[in-house]
Amino acid sequence: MLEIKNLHVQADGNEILKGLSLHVGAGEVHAIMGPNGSGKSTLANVLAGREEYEVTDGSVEFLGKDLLELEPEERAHLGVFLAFQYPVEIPGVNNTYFLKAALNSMRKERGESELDAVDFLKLVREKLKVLHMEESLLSRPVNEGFSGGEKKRNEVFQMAVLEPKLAILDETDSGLDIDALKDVAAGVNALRSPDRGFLVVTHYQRLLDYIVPDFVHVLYKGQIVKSGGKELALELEAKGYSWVEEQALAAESK
Amino acid sequence: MTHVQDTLHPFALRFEELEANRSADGPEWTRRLRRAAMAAFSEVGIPTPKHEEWKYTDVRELDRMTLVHADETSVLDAGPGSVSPLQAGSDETILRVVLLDGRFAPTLSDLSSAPAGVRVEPLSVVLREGRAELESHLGSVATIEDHPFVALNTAFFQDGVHIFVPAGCKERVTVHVVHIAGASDSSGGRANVSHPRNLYVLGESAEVRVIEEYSSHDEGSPSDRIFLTNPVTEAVIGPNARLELYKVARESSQVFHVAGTFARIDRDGHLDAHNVSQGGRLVRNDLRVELVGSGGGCVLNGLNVANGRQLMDDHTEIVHAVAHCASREYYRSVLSDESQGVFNGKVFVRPDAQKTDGIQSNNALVLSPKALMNTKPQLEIYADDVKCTHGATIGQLDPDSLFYLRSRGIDAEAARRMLVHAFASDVVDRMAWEPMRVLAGSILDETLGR
Ligand SMILES: Nc1ncnc2c1ncn2[C@@H]1O[C@H](COP(=O)(O)OP(=O)(O)OP(=O)(O)O)[C@@H](O)[C@H]1O
Ligand SMILES: [Mg+2]
Repeated sequence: MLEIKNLHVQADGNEILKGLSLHVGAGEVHAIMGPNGSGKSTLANVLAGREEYEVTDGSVEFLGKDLLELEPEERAHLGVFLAFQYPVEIPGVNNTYFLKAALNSMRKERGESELDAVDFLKLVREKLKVLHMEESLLSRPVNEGFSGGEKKRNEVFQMAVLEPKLAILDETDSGLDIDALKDVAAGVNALRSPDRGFLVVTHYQRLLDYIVPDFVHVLYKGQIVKSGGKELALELEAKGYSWVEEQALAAESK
Repeated sequence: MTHVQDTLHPFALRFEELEANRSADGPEWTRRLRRAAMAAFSEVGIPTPKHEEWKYTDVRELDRMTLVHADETSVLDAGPGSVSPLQAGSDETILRVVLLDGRFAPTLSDLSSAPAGVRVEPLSVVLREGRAELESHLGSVATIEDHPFVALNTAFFQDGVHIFVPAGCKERVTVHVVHIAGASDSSGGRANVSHPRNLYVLGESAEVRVIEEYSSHDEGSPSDRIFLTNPVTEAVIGPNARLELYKVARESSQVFHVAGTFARIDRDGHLDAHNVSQGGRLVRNDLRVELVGSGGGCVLNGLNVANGRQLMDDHTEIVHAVAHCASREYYRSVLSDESQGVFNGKVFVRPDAQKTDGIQSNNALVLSPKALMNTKPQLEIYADDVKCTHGATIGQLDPDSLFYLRSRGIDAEAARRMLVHAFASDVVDRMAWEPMRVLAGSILDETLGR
């Protein structure tokens, strides 16, 4: 469903992604790991349509469409969802109001009727339960004053409501305690289906015990330098990134 | 000395004309007051940007106006301005006062449902009847020495609204005052200057809600013709009394709106003053509150939505004269195109005003690179046991928030709208009267939809 070929991306004149290729098939879960600053969030943001990143080469095809041509909202309508590494606080915008507007914009694109307040609330309550979230969060402004864990849950909650085709989770597990981690994983696993793909960015193999990936990739200096099955994550944990770095350097000097 | 007349300011000249024709209308003290006011105005004249208080706000065009005041012979046509966007809920009794170019329009007004003891009347009637009750109040809160435009208003006012609520009145009265500029035609042409004058006197524990709405009807007049609306409102708020005041400026881009609102608050009294400005070439609001009884308080809450080349200027002054008073001030400006905003917030805490609790905040959202905001807090504190804070921000729409909303499927325009509403939300939500919140919301939508 997602085909990234030779992607080169710059920001502020610096090249961050340097020829990244990746194929995600429907129903697959791909984990992306890599040291700080390797370009994981850049990849996630480019896929979601963040304008400050400039694509200088390569292509991204999603469900047969040229993703890079589309506005962020058009990508969302097509089924792309990004759970942000650092969700922004938006004072003055009510969570429920925001989410209802988002969902209804999706439904409109799909030719479905808008949900009324009652049906919306019913849907939302169900999803809240999976994530063990307080209903009171709904009446607060988007992410404002949320704890780190609440913000991450809120991202997964939004994902659960919007039901994307491709979910990109950017370090949704970072900084979570074990209960929150389980909730987040439950939220993700509840969405797993043969027609849905996941790109899970993480630093920690712990998450992958709960969300078991089909593939693990290592992103290093803007390129995927190693790919494998879920055992690669364990190997990484045991040997550290220096192991991959050495391999990458060795490959470079050849 | 020849041609003395030529050097007289148009307003002074006009005053002479009116004086000559003025039969002995109103009591002697008002004529004295008018003459003193004219003298005070003539000393300063129309202020220039050299005056500290008018640094960013250039009103010198008013010097070149050919003045036409409405009079008894005027042919009235309120035009679309008389249809207010403010529609009250059905369960609310509202007294409606319509003023056309500063003159009371009886046929458009409805004062029939005032509760017993409460008087809502045209100021001109009270003056004509020579009732003494005005003398002690009129000009006592808004003094002519303070401000050239207060002096101007005092010299020229024809009419306005007088509200008197006696002590202990248990009903809350709602009065909607609609002022329409450019609604009268007389021999001299379409009226282009008006000086509505309002006086609200609230006895002990009285409660009043007043909506002052300024609109205009100047379609068809040459686009280089300018108008001046120069209202002054005085409020005397008695012990434990509450005034909830809304002022809405939505006149056309030919109108200079230069207004003053002055309140004196006795012990445990309270003022909520909400300002919503949308229209006018220039909107200048001077708002002064004197807290003269302990336990008194005020909330000044303003929303300015400007575009084109509009300028919106708020000068506020809060005087904490005694201890244990609280003042709150929240102003928000949304500036598009080449518009400008000015905020000057003075807070004076006198030596006796211990335990003063003051908060001032002024935030501007600048939607275009050519829009400009000037903000200046001015706190002068002469008591030592006080809590006074102020904060000001000037910023643009946050790109991270915009991206967040869009990434969830909300289109760019709707996302921008959400964020602009969010920016204004705390000020809008503070307005207790629902029709005003609705109006504020649609004003925000309009400025974005353009
Ligand atoms: N908008 C930007 N402008 C300039 N440089 C940027 C921008 N965004 C990211 N970078 C730089 O690109 C590099 C990769 O950043 P990115 O956020 O993608 O890394 P990451 O792999 O997600 O790191 P982490 O694990 O710390 O989240 C870093 O050196 C970062 O400073
Ligand atoms: Mg990152």
